[in-house]
Amino acid sequence: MRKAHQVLAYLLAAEVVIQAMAIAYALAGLGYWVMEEGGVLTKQLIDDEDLTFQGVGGFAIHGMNGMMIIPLLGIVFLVVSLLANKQVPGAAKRGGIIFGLLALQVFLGLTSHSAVLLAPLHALNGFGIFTMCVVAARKAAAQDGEPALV
Amino acid sequence: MRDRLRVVLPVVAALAIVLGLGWSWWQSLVPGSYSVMDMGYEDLGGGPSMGGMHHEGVSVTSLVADPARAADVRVALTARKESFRLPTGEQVDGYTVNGTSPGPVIRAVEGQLVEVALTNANVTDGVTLHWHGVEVPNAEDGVAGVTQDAVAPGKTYTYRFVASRAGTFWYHSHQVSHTQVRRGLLGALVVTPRARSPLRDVLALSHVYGGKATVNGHVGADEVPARPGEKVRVRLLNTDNAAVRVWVSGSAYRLLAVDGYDLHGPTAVTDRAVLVTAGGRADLEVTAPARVELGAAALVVGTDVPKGTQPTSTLDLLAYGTPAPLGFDPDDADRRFRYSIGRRPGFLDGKPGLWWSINGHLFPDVPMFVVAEGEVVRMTISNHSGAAHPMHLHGHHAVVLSRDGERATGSPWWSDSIEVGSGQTYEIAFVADNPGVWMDHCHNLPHAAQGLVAHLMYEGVTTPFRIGHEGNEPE
Repeated sequence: MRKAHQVLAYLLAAEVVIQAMAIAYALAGLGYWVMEEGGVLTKQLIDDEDLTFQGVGGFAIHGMNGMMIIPLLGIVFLVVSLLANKQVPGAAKRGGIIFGLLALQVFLGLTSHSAVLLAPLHALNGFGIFTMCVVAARKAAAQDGEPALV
Repeated sequence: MRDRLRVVLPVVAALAIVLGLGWSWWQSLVPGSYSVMDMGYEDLGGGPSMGGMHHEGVSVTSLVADPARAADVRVALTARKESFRLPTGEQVDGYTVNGTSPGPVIRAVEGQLVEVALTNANVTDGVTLHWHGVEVPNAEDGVAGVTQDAVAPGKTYTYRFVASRAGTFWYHSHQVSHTQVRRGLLGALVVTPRARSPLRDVLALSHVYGGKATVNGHVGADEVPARPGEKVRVRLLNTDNAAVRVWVSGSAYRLLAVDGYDLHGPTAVTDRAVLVTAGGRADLEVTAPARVELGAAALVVGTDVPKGTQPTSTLDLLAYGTPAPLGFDPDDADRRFRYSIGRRPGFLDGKPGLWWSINGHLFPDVPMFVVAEGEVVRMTISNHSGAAHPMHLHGHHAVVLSRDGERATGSPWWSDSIEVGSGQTYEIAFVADNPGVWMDHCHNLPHAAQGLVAHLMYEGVTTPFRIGHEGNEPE
């Protein structure tokens, strides 16, 4: 469980990085399409699956990852963290905090569609999740080889 | 003891989470085939119960137009899955009706009986036709698994209905609709009034094919000839999944009709755009030469004029035109329903995700709005989901009473496709005067496929059709 806890924490941290890269790619591609290629974006086109420009896949990755894969990983991580609490003191607490931050992240991400000012908080919270995940992974690694504290 | 608790408590919590999720997953599974009569829970809206009549009563198949009456307009339509060319030359992999998409325009005069024989040439999923905005008898509504079985390849199905109201409507498949409509299985239906209109009629059907915005199938712009100074009625149809802001360069316009209902006392507009809901229609009177902008495409009426700047404000239909009698009293409602759209984590048929919810419930555990014929119904549609939803009620038009508490003061605004933006609340009312089982869903069709779909159920009506049976998959 200790190892699973550690691996999942790193995986979640990596997912945060992927999210940032995907949305940067998508927004740069959109900018290029509009500014350089004369593309016109309307809501009708946004809601059409066939819209293509370089980087458009970044939106799909960010959405799929953020609304399905990361929440699922988050739940698995929470469960594993609870079970790893015996070997890694504080794992349950950190698992709970990270899960809470993930839930907040999804909320901020969705709500920022209609409350744009929340978007910067979505980015800021992303850094928070990344940091917490790295801390959790390193704490788990630090327990490596030490006798379990019961 | 403390140490033991530190180990045991997290394990118990972990178990509780896993069991809770498993239960929630299991509960969400939808049977392979089911009747909409068994779907979700009854919502009586404060009215009387239908009292055990659940699976008894008149079958939707008997709710038809007068079978003895001969058809005035006969049309044969063939749906085909194929690769085709748009008039402007782009290749599209999709669906055609009689070899083209958009399909042929069906024209009828108010009061005529329209008979359409739909043949499925080769669409393996099956097809149907739904008459969007037309108050057809329920058997002709074209919803696979609710009012008919999907029409299999090689088979023909005939629709018969009286085009009782003059206006702009459209037809589209209601079988695997989120794919078939997007890829072209659609066309316009224009019902003209008995009295000849002095205005010439042109269509501007907006549809996105393969990521390209079109008007009447033309990428970029379509052109219709008109003499300078000639007044033209432009029938706008939004067949896409999202609303489009329409504005006019070179001419003032009057908004004559919305969703097939004429507006009362429309005045000239110069500095505002019109929002046409997904699935919705708007008829504009423009004076040539003019350029009607529909998002990323346009209709040029007469000689082309320079494209003006997009107006920043949008025409508010709550206050456009002058009031007129509704024909019923919405304050004397028999039923009051709530249609609250949210979004929450959960399972949709076993698939985890963030799904649209109706009154807090996920599909298929959604309300079934029960009404009896003749009742006045009020519905409050609110949207807390973070995305806009074009809400479409089949078989009826509802009048908009208020938006976010602001009451309608202009012309009666009758609609079958209402754009409910995120954070908005609309109060609508209608008379339950068309018995049947009617869908009430989001016309951003992928949203409907993701569970944003409920039903209006008339007391004493039942359906023999089943979703999942005979390949029926309406969304």
